[in-house]
Amino acid sequence: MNPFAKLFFFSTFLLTISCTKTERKITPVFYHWQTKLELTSFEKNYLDSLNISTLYVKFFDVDWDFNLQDAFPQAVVQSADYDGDYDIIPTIFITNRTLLHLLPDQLPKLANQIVDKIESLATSEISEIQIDCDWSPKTEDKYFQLLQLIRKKKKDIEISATIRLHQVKYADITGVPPVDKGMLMFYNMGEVDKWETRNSILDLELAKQYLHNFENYPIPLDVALPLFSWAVLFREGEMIKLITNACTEIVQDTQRFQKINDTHIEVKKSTYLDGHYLYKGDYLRLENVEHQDLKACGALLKAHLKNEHLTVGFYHLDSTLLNSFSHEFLEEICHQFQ
Amino acid sequence: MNFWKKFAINFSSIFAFYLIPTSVARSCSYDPGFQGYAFFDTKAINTNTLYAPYFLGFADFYKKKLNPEKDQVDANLKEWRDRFCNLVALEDIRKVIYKGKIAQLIALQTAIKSKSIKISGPFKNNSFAKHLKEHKCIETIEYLIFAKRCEPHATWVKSWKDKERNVKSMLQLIKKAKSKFSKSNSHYFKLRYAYQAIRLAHYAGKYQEALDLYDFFIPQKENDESIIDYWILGHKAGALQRLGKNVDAAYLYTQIFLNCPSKRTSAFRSFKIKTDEEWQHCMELCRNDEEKAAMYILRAGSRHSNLTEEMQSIYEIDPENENLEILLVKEINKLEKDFLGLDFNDKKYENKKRFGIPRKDAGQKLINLNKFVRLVNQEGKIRNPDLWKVTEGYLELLASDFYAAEKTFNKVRKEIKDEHIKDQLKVFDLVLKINMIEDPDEEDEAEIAEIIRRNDAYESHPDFEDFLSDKLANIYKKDSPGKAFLVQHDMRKLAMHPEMETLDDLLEICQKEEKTDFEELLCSEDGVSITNKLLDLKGTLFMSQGKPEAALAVFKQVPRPAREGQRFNPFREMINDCVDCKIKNDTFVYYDKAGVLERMFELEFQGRSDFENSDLYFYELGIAYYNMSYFGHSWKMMDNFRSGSLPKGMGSDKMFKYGQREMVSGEKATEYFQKVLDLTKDEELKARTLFMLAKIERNNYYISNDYKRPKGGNMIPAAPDKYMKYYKQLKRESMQTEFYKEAIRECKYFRFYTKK
Repeated sequence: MNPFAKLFFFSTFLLTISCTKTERKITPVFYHWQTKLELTSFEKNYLDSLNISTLYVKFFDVDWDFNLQDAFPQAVVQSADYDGDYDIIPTIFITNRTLLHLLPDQLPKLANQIVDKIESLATSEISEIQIDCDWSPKTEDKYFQLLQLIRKKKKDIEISATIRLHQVKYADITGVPPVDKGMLMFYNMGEVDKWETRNSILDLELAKQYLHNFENYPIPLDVALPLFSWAVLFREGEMIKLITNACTEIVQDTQRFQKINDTHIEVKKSTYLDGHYLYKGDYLRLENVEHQDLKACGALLKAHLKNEHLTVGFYHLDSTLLNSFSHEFLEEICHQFQ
Repeated sequence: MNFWKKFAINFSSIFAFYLIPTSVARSCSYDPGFQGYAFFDTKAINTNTLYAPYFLGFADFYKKKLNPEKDQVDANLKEWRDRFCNLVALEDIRKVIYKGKIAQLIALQTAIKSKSIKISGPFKNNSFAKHLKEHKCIETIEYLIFAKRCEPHATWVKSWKDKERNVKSMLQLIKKAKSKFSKSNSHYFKLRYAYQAIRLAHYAGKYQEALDLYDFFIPQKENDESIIDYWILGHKAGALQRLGKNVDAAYLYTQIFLNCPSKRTSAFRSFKIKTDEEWQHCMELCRNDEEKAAMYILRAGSRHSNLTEEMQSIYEIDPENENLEILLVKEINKLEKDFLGLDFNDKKYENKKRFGIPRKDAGQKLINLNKFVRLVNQEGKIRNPDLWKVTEGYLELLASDFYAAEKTFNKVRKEIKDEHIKDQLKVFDLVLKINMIEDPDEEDEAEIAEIIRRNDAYESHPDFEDFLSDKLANIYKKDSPGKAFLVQHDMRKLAMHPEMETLDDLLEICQKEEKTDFEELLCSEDGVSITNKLLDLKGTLFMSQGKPEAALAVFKQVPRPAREGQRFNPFREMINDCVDCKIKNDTFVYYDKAGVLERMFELEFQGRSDFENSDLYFYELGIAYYNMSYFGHSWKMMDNFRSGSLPKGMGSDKMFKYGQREMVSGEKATEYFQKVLDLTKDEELKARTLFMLAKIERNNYYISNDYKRPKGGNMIPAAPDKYMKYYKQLKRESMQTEFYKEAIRECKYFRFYTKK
């Protein structure tokens, strides 16, 4: 065989190997975090163009009422106008303080209340319930017990939980929730209340420090990526507010805002900004999710996420946010995980 | 209780020839929060202003809590009573209106309409119900029944159950309200039916209908003031806000905030402006300066508002606005946290770390407020000029310009007429005086004593105690560590972590022939000199440092009668360690601390000279050193305080300046027990010695980083082999001794280890 023939044969062999390697199946989903489940036609078109059929919808928060000394649902979703085009996965956010104050013998009641409430709000069959809670060592036992109780009540569906980055790296300390799968929240990773923080939403350098222990994490992990932005307001050296979706207005208005650098701004003139009154001398840190950073997430994470069938969630569905991200771009993001 | 409180008690006690026992522990709590000082008093301002709760609620001195539901109920009951010429009891109205059930109200209606049927049931003796019957108030009871039917649609109870509003039923009730409004001859009930209808429309989510109803009803209403006018306005504002008409809504909330105390909190919470344009439009809607000022007041109420900026705006519009004073106090309280005692507050690092105080731009804030206050004083347009004048001096004081502050205080002193402000000035004078203490001599110390004894301002402000003690501690720490310690702490704390230089300094002061008034106080506790306690602490400290000769010399300085309180016998041998156990039929001789040491020196001498019995003497010394350690019954020979929880990994050399140390070392005892092992031929004594060495090994394990707490409450920890050397030797070489058998009988631990 001449050298060219050898080369041709070898190349064909390599190509065959790479082509026969099974590609990971990626399912994009969106989180819906508003109280009213009422999608605009723009949002529906956007979802359709991405072939998205599943929405993780926040059904309600569970928070502690200090007066009544009990846990209650808050910000319950209103789904009157929902037309049933999507598979809805109820997502429940439980505040850590609820678990801090709740007595262990109140857990069965709470599990029942959560499940009953979900069932009363769901308009169709549900295949999964996701619980979101940033548990701490003090609440770990109660939270995990609550998850087990929910699992007991809903044996025929999947129970998932959101997982923060540090909870993977330090799984032996934080524990692993007793659920079928986890949704790795690949955002809100920095200290938002520190002025020095570069970007608390997505900081890949910081994220790299936490990409450990995935091989030992015992439950399958999907991933959720951020599509939101906010301005972090500092007054008298203290972080006092997060102002969502205001970054463009701030950057464009040089009458009221003075740029210190690309991300840090000083308020030049006391003014209202989206319902918040800012005083002259306040400072803002603008936190956006850069396209290149989002793109890099796939490359960074794909080796760590082992699921053959991976769900990539986008947080969250909001027309204002979607304007900054074309559906082609989000397709590309998903592709990075293959 | 700190030094100053003791001072005050002791001083009065001296004259009364009666010593009052005092608690010496300075009070502390789990999390005291920010620790600083505040001297600007609300007595100097009018805290009765209706807006005060929204601004002063943060401070301890303002006890009134916001309770909007109660405010609303109280106002409603009061209005009902007024309408009935105050002839009925408020509580009886409450029972009918808020506690009565529909069936009971219908029964009451029947009784009212009938001549023969008497009032029965829960309203039998109710003065309001009786009044309604007596005056045949049929329209009143009809309205109350109608209102009761509306109530479930307008109240919301937190629950897990879905409780959707029954809009259909609400709309029917609105229709009925309209009809009743038309039929009613009473202006007052017309107004109340209008309220019920508008409220129902608002809660049913029919916002435009709520506005239409408002336009339908309100032009027909007579000009007779009622709280219901503002309650209706509240629902109109809510509907407007829901329809995105923020400006109109905000303006109505401003009016409600100004005029309706029972809905003030709700208006305060609902007032929302989104843009500068909205603010401007809302301002344009205001009919007068009072309304405009109220908008700034509403904005100033948010948690992180810039009060100086808001005060400037209010002042420009309405310089006599009484809320300016409230905002001033709130802002100055913040600046006090930033600046007062910044040089000497011993909690300043915690304050910075935990609370970010002083704030980054506190200096600029002080300058801005000072500038504003000066302007206000120059223009003289404000309501309470005396307050602003003293404030100017206080701001200079906060800026550490003591000269200017003193000058300002002296200038305004002659001009002030208001008694509260005069008192406030006395407080500021004292703050200034304490701030200006630099290097106190005899005369200054006499003055400090005088302040504590007689100064009214000092007496009236609890923060002066800490302010003065922190200031003095900071001054004395350079040259007099003893004084620095005792002005802030007490003898109990000194005993927990004594330092030689502190003790020496205090002994020098307390043993002086001629002490100042101040020193006299410092050196007494409950009227008794602390010298003997100091000597005991010093001797004990020498013991803990392994200096028994020095300790003996110090203990001997304590007069014999004063030594009686503490007696020990560390030579008493015990198989089981027990630090506080009483011994049955105890015939041991007990020694004071000096006596213990004399006996130890005697044993040492005999051990070195009586060779035949050296092993016995050294054994006794080993026992003594063991028992004087943390683990023995005579631990007080070497320490003043013993913690029940022994930290893992704590070595004997750990000495914390402001923490607890424990005398856990078994080194000296081991030294003597090793000598016994080398010298003795007595198998029983050898067994005892090995047992003691094994106990010391076990204790070393407890304090080592190797220690692992066994799971389960009363489990015996299993020590690694390196801590089992002497147990093994005891088992191997002394199994046949009587002591070995006794130890197995008496000591559970030993039994456990021998079985391993």
